[in-house]
Amino acid sequence: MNSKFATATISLILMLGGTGCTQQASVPDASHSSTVLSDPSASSRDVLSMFRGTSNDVDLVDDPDQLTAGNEVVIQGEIVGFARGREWQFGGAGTEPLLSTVMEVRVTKAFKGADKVTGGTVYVEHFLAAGVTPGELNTKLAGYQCGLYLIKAAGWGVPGLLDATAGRPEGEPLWVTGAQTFVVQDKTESEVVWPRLDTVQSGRLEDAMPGGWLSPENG
Amino acid sequence: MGDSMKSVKICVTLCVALAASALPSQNLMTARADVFGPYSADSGPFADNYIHTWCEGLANYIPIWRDSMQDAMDYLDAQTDMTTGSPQTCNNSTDIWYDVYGSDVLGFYVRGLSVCRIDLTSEGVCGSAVLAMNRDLLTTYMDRRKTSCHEIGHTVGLAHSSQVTSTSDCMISGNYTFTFLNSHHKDHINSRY
Repeated sequence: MNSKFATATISLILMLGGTGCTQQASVPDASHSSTVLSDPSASSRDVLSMFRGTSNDVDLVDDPDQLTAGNEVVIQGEIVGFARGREWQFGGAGTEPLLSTVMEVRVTKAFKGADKVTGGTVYVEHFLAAGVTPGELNTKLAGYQCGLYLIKAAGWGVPGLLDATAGRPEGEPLWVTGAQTFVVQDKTESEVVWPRLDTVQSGRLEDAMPGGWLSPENG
Repeated sequence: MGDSMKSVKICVTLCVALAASALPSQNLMTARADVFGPYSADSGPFADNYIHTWCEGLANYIPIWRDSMQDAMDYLDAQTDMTTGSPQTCNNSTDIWYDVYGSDVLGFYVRGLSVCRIDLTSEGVCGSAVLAMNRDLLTTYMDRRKTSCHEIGHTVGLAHSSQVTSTSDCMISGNYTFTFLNSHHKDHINSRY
């Protein structure tokens, strides 16, 4: 290798090393670190178990403030319970409708859209929570602290939706959350769970909310 | 010229190796073993057998979405030991009920999802799954093809790929254009069905 090429090689090494070649190589802020947990706490496993059988293809967002910009309401609160949600007709005539589940959350802190949660409670639809009943969800998840980034759920007019007003008190708006936008704090308060991403990381719920720094490493 | 090209190749290889060695340990710890069903580390359940049928939900029938899904199913048929076909009338034994919704149903930044609707066994064998695509995010054929491949993969037990690598395939989550399964994932499928 001649000297010119050696110089170019070293420059390229430094350049690639500096940029990390890929996004995974960016150097994290040492004060903000989290680890994906392969052996999470029992309560984290409980949370995950309620969403097994559901897998998502998701565009992950790097930081909570980016998530905030794309959602109407951002809150932190306590899961009160679950109820039978709306019915969706898949498959046409002769097939049983599928059920979604509606989660009731008592808001303890509103980061965005406080004027839309004046009653202090939000009702959030989990689309096609198949295989798990509201009773099982109540047993496992009621009382957990969660964070939610929400957009208004589709109402009447969506093909397949049979009962747009089901799952919450009359007149209450229904919200929908995504996979990265539903975050749960485990009972040890040292682990953060994204149930629909099947991901558990060390950290506190606040870190995954606006002003925080924690985002999921998917997979 | 030939030596230069060879040197460039060596350089790039070296650069990648050195950059990889420079990765912070935290990030290395985020990599997971690539598991294969059922229900562990974001894998889907297993399918009930090697015949993988599908149908279009009549309520949300959108014809332009058929091609990408059909092509992804044809790919599964051609590249693995599984057998697929054209869409049939939906019933409880149809392996995939396919449909299309918006973000106001599926959630923010969810490109697609699959949900097992009929668990056949407690060990994670699914008799029938719903596969829903997000029309707000999947605006091109390649988008739809990739997410079809991804969600079909979940319905046969594949898990997410954790990072973009030279062998990445459609099981990586997010906005990528990989529309194929890598040999590792094909081996998983062929070992089971």
